[in-house]
Amino acid sequence: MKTLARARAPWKVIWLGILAALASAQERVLHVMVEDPLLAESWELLGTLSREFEARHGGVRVDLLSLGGAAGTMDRVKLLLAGDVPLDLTRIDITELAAYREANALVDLEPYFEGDSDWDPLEWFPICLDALRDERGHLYGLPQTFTPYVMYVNLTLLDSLGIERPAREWSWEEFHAICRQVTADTDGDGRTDRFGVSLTQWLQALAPWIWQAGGELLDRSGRVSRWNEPPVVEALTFLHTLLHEEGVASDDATFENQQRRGLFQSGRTAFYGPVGYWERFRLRAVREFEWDVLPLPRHRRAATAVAMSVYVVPRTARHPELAYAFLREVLGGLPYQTRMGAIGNGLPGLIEAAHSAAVRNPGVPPASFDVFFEVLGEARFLPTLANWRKIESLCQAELEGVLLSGDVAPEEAARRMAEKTDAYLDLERRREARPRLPGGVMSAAVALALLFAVGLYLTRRGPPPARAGRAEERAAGAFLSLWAVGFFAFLLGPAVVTLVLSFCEWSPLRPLSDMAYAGFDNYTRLWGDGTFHTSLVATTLYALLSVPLTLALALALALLLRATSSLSSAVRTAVYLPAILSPVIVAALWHVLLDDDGLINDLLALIGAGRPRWLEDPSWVVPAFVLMALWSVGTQMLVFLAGLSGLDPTLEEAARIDGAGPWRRFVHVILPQLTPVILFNGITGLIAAFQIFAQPYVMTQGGPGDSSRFLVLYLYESAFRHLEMGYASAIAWVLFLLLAILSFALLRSSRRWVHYASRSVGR
Amino acid sequence: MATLSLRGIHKSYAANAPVLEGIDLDVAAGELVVIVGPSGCGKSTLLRIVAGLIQPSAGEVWIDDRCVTDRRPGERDVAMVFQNYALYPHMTVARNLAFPLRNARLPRARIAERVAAAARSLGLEGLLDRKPSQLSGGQMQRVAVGRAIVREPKVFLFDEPLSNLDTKLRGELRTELAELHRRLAITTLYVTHDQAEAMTLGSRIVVLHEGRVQQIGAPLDVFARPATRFVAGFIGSPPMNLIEGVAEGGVFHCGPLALAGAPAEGPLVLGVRPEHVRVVSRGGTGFAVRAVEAHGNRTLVNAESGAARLRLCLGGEVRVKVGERLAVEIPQDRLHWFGGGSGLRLESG
Repeated sequence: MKTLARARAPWKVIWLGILAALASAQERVLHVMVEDPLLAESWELLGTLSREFEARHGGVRVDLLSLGGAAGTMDRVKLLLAGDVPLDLTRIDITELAAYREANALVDLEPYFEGDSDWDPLEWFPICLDALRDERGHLYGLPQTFTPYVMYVNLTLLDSLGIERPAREWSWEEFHAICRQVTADTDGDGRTDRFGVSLTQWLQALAPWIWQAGGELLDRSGRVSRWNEPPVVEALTFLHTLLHEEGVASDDATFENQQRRGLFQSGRTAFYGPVGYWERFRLRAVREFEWDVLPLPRHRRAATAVAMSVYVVPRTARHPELAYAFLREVLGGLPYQTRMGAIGNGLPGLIEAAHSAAVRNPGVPPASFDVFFEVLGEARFLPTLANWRKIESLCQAELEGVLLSGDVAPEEAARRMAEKTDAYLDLERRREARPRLPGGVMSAAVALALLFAVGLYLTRRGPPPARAGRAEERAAGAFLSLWAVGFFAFLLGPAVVTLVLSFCEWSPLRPLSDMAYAGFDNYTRLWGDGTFHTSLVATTLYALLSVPLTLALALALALLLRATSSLSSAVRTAVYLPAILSPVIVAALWHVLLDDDGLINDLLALIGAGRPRWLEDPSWVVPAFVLMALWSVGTQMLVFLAGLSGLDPTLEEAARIDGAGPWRRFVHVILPQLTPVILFNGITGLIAAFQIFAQPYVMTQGGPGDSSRFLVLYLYESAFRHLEMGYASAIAWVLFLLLAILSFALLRSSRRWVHYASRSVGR
Repeated sequence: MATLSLRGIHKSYAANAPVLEGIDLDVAAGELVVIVGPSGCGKSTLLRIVAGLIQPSAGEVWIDDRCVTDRRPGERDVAMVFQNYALYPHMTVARNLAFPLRNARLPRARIAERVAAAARSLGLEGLLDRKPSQLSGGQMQRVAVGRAIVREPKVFLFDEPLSNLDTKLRGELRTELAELHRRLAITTLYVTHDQAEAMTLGSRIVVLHEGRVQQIGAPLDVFARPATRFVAGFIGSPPMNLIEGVAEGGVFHCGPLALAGAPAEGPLVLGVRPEHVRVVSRGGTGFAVRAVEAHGNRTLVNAESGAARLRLCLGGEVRVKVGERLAVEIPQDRLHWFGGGSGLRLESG
C-alpha cells in the first residue's frame, strides 16, 4: 500500500500544480509603481496595507514596484508605458501630468470618483486637487505628497552672530542684508567659507523669485513667454548679485547635489532655499544647530512654488477599477498619507493626515511647522503645459549660465530664454496642424527594407552551387538564419522605423498608429536648435580630446606592460578592471573623486594647481569626462598589447643593430607596424566617444547649462523626457551619418598612414 | 678590416640547461667563417650575442682590440642580415637602405651617395621606390644585404639568409654572396644549417652541436677528417655510414662484417662515406639491397647484411635492383674510426 501511495505522490503534485496554475490564471495582479523602497518605513507599511487590500478584494494580488530614487526617475515611467508594460497605478510628478494627459496616456478617474459615495474632495487640500483636474474639472489622480517652497534658516548661526531672526513677512532687502552680514572667511584662507544662503537653482525653486518681482513665466494663454520682461531680469539680477557679484550666496544647492551634505547641513549658511518640506527628512539628523522654516522673502508680492507627486492610472492599466480602489483605500488612505508626511518626504495631500500629530511631530523642528500651510495661499504650480519639461530644460541651461557659472548677463539669459521658449511654443502650434501619417506606412517601409535585403542577397549570392554544395549551403543558411533573425529584428527593423520616425512626430506614449507627418522639419529644426549645436560642439570636443589621449595612454601602458612578468600582469589586470565595471558605477565613483573637496582636487592642491570645479564649471566639465575616459583605457590597452605581441621582433632587433635609439625605434619601427591597431582603436574609440551617455546621465544630467549635454544624452532626453521620438530619431540619424562620414574619412586617409604587414616571409 | 674574437662565451637561460658552452673563436680580418649545425644547436644565439641582441652569461666578444660585450648593438659597428630579411615594411627600398645611415646622422648627400652605391652594386637601382611587399624573395634578400653593406661595418653577420629561398635562387645568391665577400673582404660570421652553403662559402667552418664547438677547420679538412662522430654524420651528403661494432684483436666486428685495422679494442664506430664504398661483384653473397634511389647523376643504395647497414653512392648509370646481393669493398685509407663512448676520432695505426 505504501508503495502505491508513493507512486501516486507525483501525480498529486502535478494535479496541485495544475490547480495552482488555474487559480493564478484567475488571480488579478495589480501592478503599482510606488516610491523608493529605501524609504523602508513607508515600504513596510505599504506592504501591510496591500495585504489587507488583497484580503478585502478576493483574487487580487498587489505587485509593488519601485520607481527608485536616482537620476531619471521621472523618465522611467514613460519608458515603461512606451514599452506597453501594464502598470495599473503609478506615481508621477505634477509637472508631467499635462504631458501624459495630452498623449491620452491616463485614465480619466472622474467617473470613478462620481460613483464613489465615500469620496469627499473637501478632505483634500484644494490646491492639490485643482492641479490634478483638466479644463473640464475631471480629476485624474490623487496626491501622494506635496510641498510649497519655503526658506530654511539656521537660528543658531543667526543668534551667534547677533543677527535678529527675521519675521515671517520679510523682504528681499532684509534677506540680502542678513546674507551680507553672515558671509565671511572664518579661517582666513582667502576663500569664503560661510555664506548667507545656499541658493537652490532649479526652475521650480527660481520661479518664486520671478513671481515675487511681479513677473510671469508665460502669458495666460500659455503660448507666449514672458521671460524677457523687466521683473524676470530684476529677479535674475538680484540672484546674480547674491551669487557672483557679492558672493554672499553659495551655489552648492543644485538639483543634483540634493542627496549630498550641503553647506547648510554643515552649519555654514544661514539660509537654505527656496526648498520644500522634504528637507525636514534630511535635516532630522542635524543636532549641531537649531533650525526653522520661514516663508520666502517677498518683494512686490508674496509668492512661492509648489511641488507635488501624484498617483495616476495609466491607459495601459489592466484593472483600472481595482487601481482606483487601491488609490482610494491605500494610497489615499489616512495611514499611508500620514506615514508619508511623518517620514518628512512631503506633506500629505489629505488634510487630516497633514495636521495629524504624527506629521506635525511637536518637539521636532521646524517649530514654525504651520508656515507650510500659511504660504499655500500664495503658492502656485509651474505652468501646466504638455511640453513644460522641454521648456524647463531649454531655460535651465540659460539659468545655469547666470547663476551657476555667472558668465552670462541676466538680460542676455532672459532674452535667450524668451527666444528659445517662443521658438519652441511656435513649433508646438505648427505641430497641431500636421497631417496624420497614413496607417501602414511604417509596416510598408519595414517590408520594403526586408525585400531589399533579400533581393540584395539573391542578386549577390553568385551562381547556384552544384548538387554536392547544396546541402552545405542549406547548413550554412541554417546557421546564418539565427544571426539574420537577430539582425532584422533588432537592427535593420528598428533602424528603418527610426528613419521613418525621423520624418514624423510621435510621442512614445501614443500608439504607433498615431503619428503625424513632419517632412524634413525635424532635420531643419536641428539646424536652428541651439541646444543641438551646443551638444554637437561638446560631443566633438569630447571626442577630439578623449580619442587621441586615450589612444596615447593605452599605447603607452601597453608598451610599459608588454613584458611578461607577474607584476606587469597584475598591473594589466588593474588597468583593465575599470573597463568591466558598469559605467554607472564608474560615474558614481568619479562623482566622489571629482567633488570640489574630492581626491583629485586634493592632489591638485598639493602641487598648487588650484581646485577646478569639475562638474559645476562649464569649461571643466568636458575635461572631467575626458579624465574619466582615460581611466577606462583597459580595452584599448588590451588591443594594443595584442598588436604588440603580433609584431615581428626581428624588425626591432634590426633597428637596434642599425643604431636606432628607443625613440627612433618606436617612431620608425613599432608605431608604423601598429597603425592598423591604431586605426581600429581610433574608429571604435571615436564611435564610443560620440555615444557617451551613461556618465553624463548619472553625473551631470547635461549640466552645467548644456555643457555636458552630449548628443546621445540629448537624443535620450528628446525621446523619453520630452517625448519627441521623431526629433530624437532625426538626431540619431544625423549622429549615424556623422559617424559614418568620420569613419569613412578615417578609412580613406588610412591608405596614406596605415601600413599593413608585408607578404609574410616565413620564419 | 677587423678581427673578431669570441672568448669563453657561455649562455644559459636556466640553471643546468646551457645553450652555449665555452665557445672560443677567432675570425681573422676579412675572413668568412660559417657556423653550421642542426636546429637548436645555439648557432643563432651565438650570432645574436655577437650582434649584441643577447647578453652572454659569461665570456667576451672582441672586435679588433675593443671588448664590445657591454656595448649596445648599434655601437658595435656590426651589420646583420636576418633569415626573414627584417625589412621595414612601411619604408621604401631607398629608405630601408638609408635607415642605418640616418640613425648615424650622416649628411643627406652622403646618405644618397652611399645608398646609390649600394643599390648599384646589388642591382637594386630600379627598385628604390618600391615597398618590400612589392619585391620578390631574392630582391628582398638583396635589399637586406644592401642595408648591411651600406653602413660599411667592421663585421657582417648573416643569420641563415638564404633559407627562405627556393633551391635554384639559393644557389645563385650563394654565388653572389661569395663574390660580394671577395669584393668587400669584410670579416663575416655566417650561420646556416645548410652544409652546402657551409662548404662553399666559408674559408673555415665551425660545427656546433648542443651548444659546443665540435670542430673548427677548413671545409675540406672537416669533410675529410671529421673530429667527432657527430661531425662525420653531419657534414657530407649523403651522410657518412656509421656502423657500431666491437673490435677484438684489431678486428672490427658488426654482424657478418669483419674488418681488420681497428685502432682500439672494445666498442667502436666505423665511419665510411657512401661514395667510398665500391661494389666488387653482384649476386652471390654480401649485402642485400633494400632500397634504391636513382638521382640521375648518382644512385643511392641502402643495403644490409645482418646488423650491418650500409648506404652506397654509385654512379648514375649503375642499375641495381632491390633484393640483389652486392659484394663490397672499402679501401683502408677511407675508413674513419670513432670511440664507441666518446664519439671522438681515433687515428688508425
